[in-house]
Amino acid sequence: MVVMFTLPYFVPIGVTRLLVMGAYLAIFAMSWDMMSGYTGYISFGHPFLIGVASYVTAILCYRGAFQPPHIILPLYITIPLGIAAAVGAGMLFFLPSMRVRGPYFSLISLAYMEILYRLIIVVRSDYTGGDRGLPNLPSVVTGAIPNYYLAFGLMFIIGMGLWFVTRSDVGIGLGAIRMDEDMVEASGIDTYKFKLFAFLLSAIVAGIGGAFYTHYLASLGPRRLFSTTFPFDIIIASVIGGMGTITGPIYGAFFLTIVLEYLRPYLFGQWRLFAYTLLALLVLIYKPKGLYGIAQDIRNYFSRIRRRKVSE
Amino acid sequence: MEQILIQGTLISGLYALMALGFTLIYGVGGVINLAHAGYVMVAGYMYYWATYILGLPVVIGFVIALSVSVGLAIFTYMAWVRRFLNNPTMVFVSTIIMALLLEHVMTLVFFRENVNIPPIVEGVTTFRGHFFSNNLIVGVIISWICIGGLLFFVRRTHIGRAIRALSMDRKGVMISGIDPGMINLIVWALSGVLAGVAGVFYGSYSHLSPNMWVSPLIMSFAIVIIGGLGSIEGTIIGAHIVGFMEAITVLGINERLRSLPGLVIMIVVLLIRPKGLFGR
Repeated sequence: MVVMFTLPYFVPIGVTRLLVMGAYLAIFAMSWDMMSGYTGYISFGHPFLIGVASYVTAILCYRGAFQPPHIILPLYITIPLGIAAAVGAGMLFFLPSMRVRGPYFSLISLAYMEILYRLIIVVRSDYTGGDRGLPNLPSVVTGAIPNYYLAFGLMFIIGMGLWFVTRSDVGIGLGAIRMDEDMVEASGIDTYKFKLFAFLLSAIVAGIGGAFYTHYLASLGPRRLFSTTFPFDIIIASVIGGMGTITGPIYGAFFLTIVLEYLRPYLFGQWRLFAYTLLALLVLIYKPKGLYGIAQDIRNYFSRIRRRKVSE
Repeated sequence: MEQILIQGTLISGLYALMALGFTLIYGVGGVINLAHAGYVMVAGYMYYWATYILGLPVVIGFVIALSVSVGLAIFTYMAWVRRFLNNPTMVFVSTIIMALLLEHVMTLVFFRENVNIPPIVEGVTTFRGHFFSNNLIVGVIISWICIGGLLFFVRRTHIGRAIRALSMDRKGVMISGIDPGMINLIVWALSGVLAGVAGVFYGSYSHLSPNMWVSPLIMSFAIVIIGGLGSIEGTIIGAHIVGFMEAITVLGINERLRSLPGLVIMIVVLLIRPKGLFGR
């Protein structure tokens, strides 16, 4: 904790920026984990939720609301509106999950993302900025260190919140849905409510992350937001960290950002992407619980040693 | 009008080729192989490498492309999918990561720029005042030969019967003395062949780029969902619905909305009839 709070005063500013990116990736990965890691409804279109929140807040504070007078709204109104829009989008995500499962759901979510992208660049491109996106958005706080505290504060609060939720009965219910949804339904539990809860929570987190991230970057580009690498970065971060653990994706996100950055001198552009994708594949095949699982193994190992010493 | 017909037929044929691979694997193994679209992309690149960079004849280029995509399919199955057949989520996530991996490898080897494959067959044919390249026409013919061959294989041969039996009842197949692992392997190899042919023609129809696997993946998935997962006839019909919608959109409305109608149909089908038109 102390390390986390004082860190920006010791490390160079570039590292602080890196950590901020890591924190936002961690928020997105947690959001993904809440929806997909827990319930087993794998979402490939998470940027859809993030994109809805980003675009709503960006358009409202850049172009203004109510078309003729163009009232430019302040950030403390636009960001909540963006999050609310993400929650609405989360409902849209939830809708197909009532009918379809497994791979069908994943592909629908990918389709949502693709449809949103097409619509944004073609329909009303005067408003959304089309392919070029929106530049020069206002930021919440300026400077690397305030942004560090903002991102880490958000990550911390969200992480705590989700952690408590998943350690409660609801978390157990969601894990049970992943294992066998029919069985959960057969035991008289309404899976409906559980899924809705998980999806809305995930959408809220994605909305918060998306809105703040957009204002941190101070620009919005559809190519970057809706490129295929973005959802898969989120998924890979969760997979490396450990799916269905909430804390795992945080490890995964920081591991990914930091390792990627420090590999820069040794491996050129594409080689790094290749390396971390290969790593994710190997982790998934051999260690499905990811870094979280490895950390648990180490803890178990030490506790076993301690126990042996005590018994001797 | 003629243009929409011809264009629609070609795209439909290619989409059917790609989507059949998914359907086969799902029907038999109950898992979905998202790396399939990656094989399509790799096969396109292999053909380009063999014929354009090495200057080998077209037939050898074809053979190389096909053997690489079959090899990749068999590798994916043997390396880990075999062990996770009872965990579809795992296969799902791992194969999409495999597809990403293939994208990165191809970027490392061939760089990120778009590459145009020279047409496989030269020349154009004039029909009622419209020009159609012979390349497109040969593409249609070859994809239909492949589809016909597949239908014949699945319906008339001994192995085809075993494949259909495995998709119905795994235990029954084992009792009759057929090794499900072997049949699965054959199906994966078969889907690799389909991906290879589709890759060569898809590449020469549009262009090659390392991230070109995404849109065919989404489209062939939409097709499979519309037609019903696991149904070969449904897949072929779904491919035509999506292919013609796409041709109409591209030629009649706006080229940038290319993939939209297929996706919208997919969502509607899923919400109204989740099993698809011909699903079991």
